[in-house]
Amino acid sequence: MLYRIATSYWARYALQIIPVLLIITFVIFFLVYIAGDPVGQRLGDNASPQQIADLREAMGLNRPFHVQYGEYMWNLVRGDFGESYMYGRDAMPIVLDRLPNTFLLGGAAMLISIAMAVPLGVLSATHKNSVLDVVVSGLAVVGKAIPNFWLGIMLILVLSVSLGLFPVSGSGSWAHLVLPAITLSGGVTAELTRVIRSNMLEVLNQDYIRTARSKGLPHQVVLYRHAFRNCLVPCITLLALTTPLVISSAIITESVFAWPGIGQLLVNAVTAADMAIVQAVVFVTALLIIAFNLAADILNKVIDPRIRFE
Amino acid sequence: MTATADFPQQRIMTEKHPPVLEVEKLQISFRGDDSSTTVVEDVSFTVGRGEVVGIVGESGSGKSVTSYGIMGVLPPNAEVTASKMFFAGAHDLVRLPSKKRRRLQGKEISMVFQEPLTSLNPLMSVGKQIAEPLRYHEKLSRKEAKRRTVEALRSVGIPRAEQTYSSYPHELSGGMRQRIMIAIALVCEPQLLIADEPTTALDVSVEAQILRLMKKLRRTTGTSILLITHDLGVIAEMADRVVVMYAGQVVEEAEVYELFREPRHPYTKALMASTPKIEEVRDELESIPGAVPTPSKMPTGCRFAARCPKAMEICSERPPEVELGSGAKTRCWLYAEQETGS
Ligand SMILES: Nc1ncnc2c1ncn2[C@@H]1O[C@H](COP(=O)(O)OP(=O)(O)OP(=O)(O)O)[C@@H](O)[C@H]1O
Ligand SMILES: [Mg+2]
Repeated sequence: MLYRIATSYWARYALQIIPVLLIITFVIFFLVYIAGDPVGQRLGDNASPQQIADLREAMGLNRPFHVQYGEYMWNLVRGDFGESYMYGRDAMPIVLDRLPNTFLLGGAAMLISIAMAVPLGVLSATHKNSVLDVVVSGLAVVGKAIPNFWLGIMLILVLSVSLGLFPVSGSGSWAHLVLPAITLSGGVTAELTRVIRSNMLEVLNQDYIRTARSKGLPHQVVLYRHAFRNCLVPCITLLALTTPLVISSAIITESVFAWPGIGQLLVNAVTAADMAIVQAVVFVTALLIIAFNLAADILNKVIDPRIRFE
Repeated sequence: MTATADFPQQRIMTEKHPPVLEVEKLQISFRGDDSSTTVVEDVSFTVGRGEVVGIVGESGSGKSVTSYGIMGVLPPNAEVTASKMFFAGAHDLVRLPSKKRRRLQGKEISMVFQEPLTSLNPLMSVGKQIAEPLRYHEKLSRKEAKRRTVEALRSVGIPRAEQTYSSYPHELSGGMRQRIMIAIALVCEPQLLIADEPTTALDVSVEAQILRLMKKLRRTTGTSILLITHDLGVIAEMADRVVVMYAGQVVEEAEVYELFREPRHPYTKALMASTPKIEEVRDELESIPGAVPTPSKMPTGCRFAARCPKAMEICSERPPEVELGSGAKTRCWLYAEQETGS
């Protein structure tokens, strides 16, 4: 029974993903088609019109739109995203090589956000209108408003350049991870703290919290097992919804700190008009966003039995 | 379950029980932004061992707030004072540090709340919610706690207890959820059960089952019950002694038989007069003309005077609490003479 409900759920999810993927790939193709004539960039300013025409011919850029699109889709289906001209090999493996670094950075940022936002959000709800609450709320507003790159540069100036606590940029050790992870976590921490606080304030007024207190349970058990757990669904939903935002700030953060993830790769590829890499990164990113939303959906269903696999 | 007929004569209890709960001059106020409102004032009563004490009163008379005060689950902006609030003669519930209080909550004193639909955690299986007090107070292993929980589920009359153990609240009906609440309250076999309108949200047949269940529990475990209701029928069926509350004060206290035979306070009389003999209308107390004064506009004299058919001039002064013998008390100027006479 549950199995059948679950399979129909998956089936419907899969059916929803297909049009999303079609649209995304089309948009990628279209953007590259109108914006990215890579030929001029590759040949430099001194190329003769003849050279340009020859390269265009060789790259198949003279063919009609639908032919190019058909070929592009056919290649995608076979997992071929084209050859990166920067690296001289297939684009997708290059992107996948960089992906673990981005995951490491994103995961570390996520852990920092959760480790900060959960206690701060819960405490500012239980100590509503206290000094702590006012300070935390203020910090959350500031945290949301600060641009990512600015926070990153400030951290570098203070903690790396002046105090020498962490390396300025690059990768290779845990110390390299600290500043970019903090930079990336800033916005999410602020938003998550705010969401936890407001949800906790609501949940703490619920009748079942009074029941939990009437059982003589330790304060922390009432607070976390009974109250905070009822805030998890909105928190997870928030995290899923902010994934695109986090990915875009990851691009900036990776560039600021020269962190070798897909964000930095994307920036380099755009600068060099390496469209194969750009397409591959955008495609992977889109898949990641879909995957995170699906994961959030499943997690919410596991946490809250009232949400069904419908 | 009519109010005045068919309550057993043997209820008249003369034997004195050692009290499980003694409340004297309980006052509860809520701090607001700039002012504080007192919603319970000068409330005194005792609950003897194995006794069922009923609290009746209109909506807003402070029944729930009083019980939260005893239970220790008032919101943080509440202020509780009392000249005495003793549990089992030993624990001063007003001054008890929260750690020691928690040892009593859910173990020695427990409570069934007025709202069965929202009083259970929606994300936790009901079995786990019943097992929680066992795990914390009796330090039982998971397995042993589960065994006792299933037992508790059976004792509150839940069929297929094993299956219900892993159900979630939203899968159960209101009556079932109220049974779960009772199972939570009783799983550690408390000395005092506070039941706040345990049947108000339920239909009549479920109500009868729940009441039967509570009677049985009292008989088998000797648990004292503080039963809050605005249904005099329930009082007649269940209570040994009755405390009548009006606008945050106790206006009358008497043994149940005496109360029904000879209600003293005009409010009690009005309550009885407005209760239909056949249970049809549920909101029966609406029919007393006028409304309960709000905490901010509380008169200094008798709080019922504005609605009282027997109001006199002196009623604008604070009425005395008159002892009427055999433990009966009333807060009314009409009986002030009797006190000096007796
Ligand atoms: N947290 C609170 N803050 C301020 N006032 C409160 C609070 N809780 C209850 N009150 C007030 O206390 C008074 C008594 O409420 P209470 O819930 O005890 O009434 P009740 O006798 O239980 O009524 P009912 O029969 O409807 O359950 C009401 O006027 C109510 O508005
Ligand atoms: Mg109430």
